Formats: sequence, structure tokens, C-alpha cells
Amino acid sequence: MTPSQVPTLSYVFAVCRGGGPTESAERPAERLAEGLAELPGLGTGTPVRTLPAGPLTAVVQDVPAAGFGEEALRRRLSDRAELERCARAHHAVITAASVLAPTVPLPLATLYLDDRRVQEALDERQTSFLTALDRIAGRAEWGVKVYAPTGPPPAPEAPSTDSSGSGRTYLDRVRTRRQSREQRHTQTLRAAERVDTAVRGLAVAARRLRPHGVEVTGKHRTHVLNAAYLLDLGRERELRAALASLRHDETDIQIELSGPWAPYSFADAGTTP
Amino acid sequence: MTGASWETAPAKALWEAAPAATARKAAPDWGTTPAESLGPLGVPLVDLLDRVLATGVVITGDLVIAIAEVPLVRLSLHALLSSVNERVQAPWTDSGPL
Repeated sequence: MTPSQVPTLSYVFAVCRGGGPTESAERPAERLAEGLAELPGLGTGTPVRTLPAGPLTAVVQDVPAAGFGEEALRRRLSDRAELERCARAHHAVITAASVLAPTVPLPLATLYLDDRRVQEALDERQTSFLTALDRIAGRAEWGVKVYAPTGPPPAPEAPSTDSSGSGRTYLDRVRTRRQSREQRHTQTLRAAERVDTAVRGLAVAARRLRPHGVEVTGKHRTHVLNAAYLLDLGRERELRAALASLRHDETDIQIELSGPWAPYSFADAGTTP
Repeated sequence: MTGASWETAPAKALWEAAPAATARKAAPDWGTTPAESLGPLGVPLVDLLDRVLATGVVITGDLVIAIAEVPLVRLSLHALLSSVNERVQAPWTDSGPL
């Protein structure tokens, strides 16, 4: 803990199940606490610790109110480098926790005025946390992204001798090119749907994330699918085999796999319709 | 998990091959990072932000409420992110993931 003179806030990284007396002799909450104690967390010099809240355990860290208060936080997260540092620090704690126990990740910068407020918040949403924990236990999130190359279509149009001579020929060519582009786009979307369907077949839950814009992907390709899937831990091999087969069949698209992630995209599983 | 648990096509050479220890060494100094494996830290920032920002309506923190009735922090982060993306290439395209 910090010296009491420095006002602090409670930063919450994640929520796990608590180690009540009904739990096994392994005392998962204690194991969790030990495993996290060495982490730097947000680098505030205070330990990452566990906070019991009924049947749940929050993974928290005291952060100075001066550095994480409303205005300071806004400034902090408006700075790109600092945003990245915080996001990676947040991710490191969540990843470490999820190795030790089923973990519901919370969004970046989930802050409470003190521990008691954290406990109240967890109590209020106890059922949905327990539901989410049941759902993600023994499972991991995988990300699948599908890209379509945006290069010029392989138009095998014969370069006729005086093609530019006739306006009509020109218009025909423009139209043909547009049609082939639209056709390719449709094909790409269908291919992405086939990928989604195949991976969904292995997953217990799926979620579409926002595809990235050209600023992220670069001009040479379009992001057509950004999806997250929740898979049982034993199915990684099947997933990889399915993707290998899809890559073989779907030659018009690029398929990228990332993971395993802590189940970020399925934390609200208990509350969404 | 081995290094092979992360794969991407073009970005692959840039960050998949880097062992976690290397990625961590290149990471901003968060203090003393313990040596044990924490999983993939060299994750592309966009993929990470997709998750750490967009995740979860499970809970709402005091501060988020304090800033506005809506989670303004998250909204402004999305705005920030898109403006960052307009100006700067994804960070790993030129210098690796970290």
C-alpha cells in the first residue's frame, strides 16, 4: 500500500473468481496474488494486488490521484506514447492474471475512488461477472483478420492498338474495370464470410470488431474482417488446421491469426443480448 | 505457448520472430519486469487497443462516470486513435511492434 498521505485511486485491471472456503485446497486467489505481486503494473511503484469482493477477486493497483485523476488521465491518454505505455501495462497484468486463473479483463482506465467502491461495483454486477467467468473458463480468445489486396485488377484486357482513339472504347474499358472491381469486392466479402463461418464452427462465441482503416492497413490492402472468437483451450490445433486449409482454398484473401488473447472481447458475455 | 502462437502475414517477420524477452527489452520502461513469460507483449498496438478500449460494458468506473454521463474517456480515445492513424503509420510498419 502507499503511504496514507498520498491520495490514491484504485485502478482495476481484471476480475477473477475469489478463493472462498468452498474452493479447492489450491487457494486460487492466493496463487493469483503471489503471481501478480512482482508485476510493475502501471509503474506507479505500488504492487499489483488482489482485492476480495464476495465470490470475486479484483486485480487492482493503487495509483496516485494526482497522476490518474480526471484531468491528468485525460492528458495522459491523449498522449500517444503514454496511451501505448498504459495499454501495454494493462495488457501485461491481464495476461499474467489469465495465465493463473480465469480472468475477465476490464477496459483500460477503469478507476474507482477507493477499494470500497470497487467492491460495491463488483457486488452490483456479481451475477454477470460470475456468468462471464463461467463462460471464459478454460477458453481463450483468438483474433482472425481477413484482408483483400487492393492492387489493380489482373485485367487481361488486350492493349488494343488505338484504344485511346475512341471515347466509346474508353468508357467501355472504365465500365469493365469498375465491374471487375465490384465483382472482386463481392468475392472477397464472400470469402471472408466463409472464413468466419469455418472459425465460428470451432468457437463457443464470436464477435466482430471494427475493421481497420487504410491508415492502419496501408493502401495495398483492405481490411474486410476483424473478428474475435472464443475457443476451448484444446482447439488451437484444429483452428490452425482450419486456417491452413482456408489459406489454401481462398487465394484472393490474406488471413491473419492472433492469439491466444485473454478473453477481452467476451468480458460482457453475460450482459449483451 | 511458443513464438508460433502469434502469426500474421506481412507483419510476421517484424514481430512474431522476436522472443518475448527481446520485445520486453524494447518496451518502454515500466519498472522491473519479472522474467517469467507473460505471453505475447509484442502485440500490435491497434489489435491491443481494439481490445483494451472497446471491451466490456461489464462495469463502469467512478472516473469514467465523473467525466461525463457517457464513457467519454473511451470516446475521446477512439477519436484520438483515428486521428493518430491519419497522421502516423501503424507504429510497427517501420520500427517493429514496440
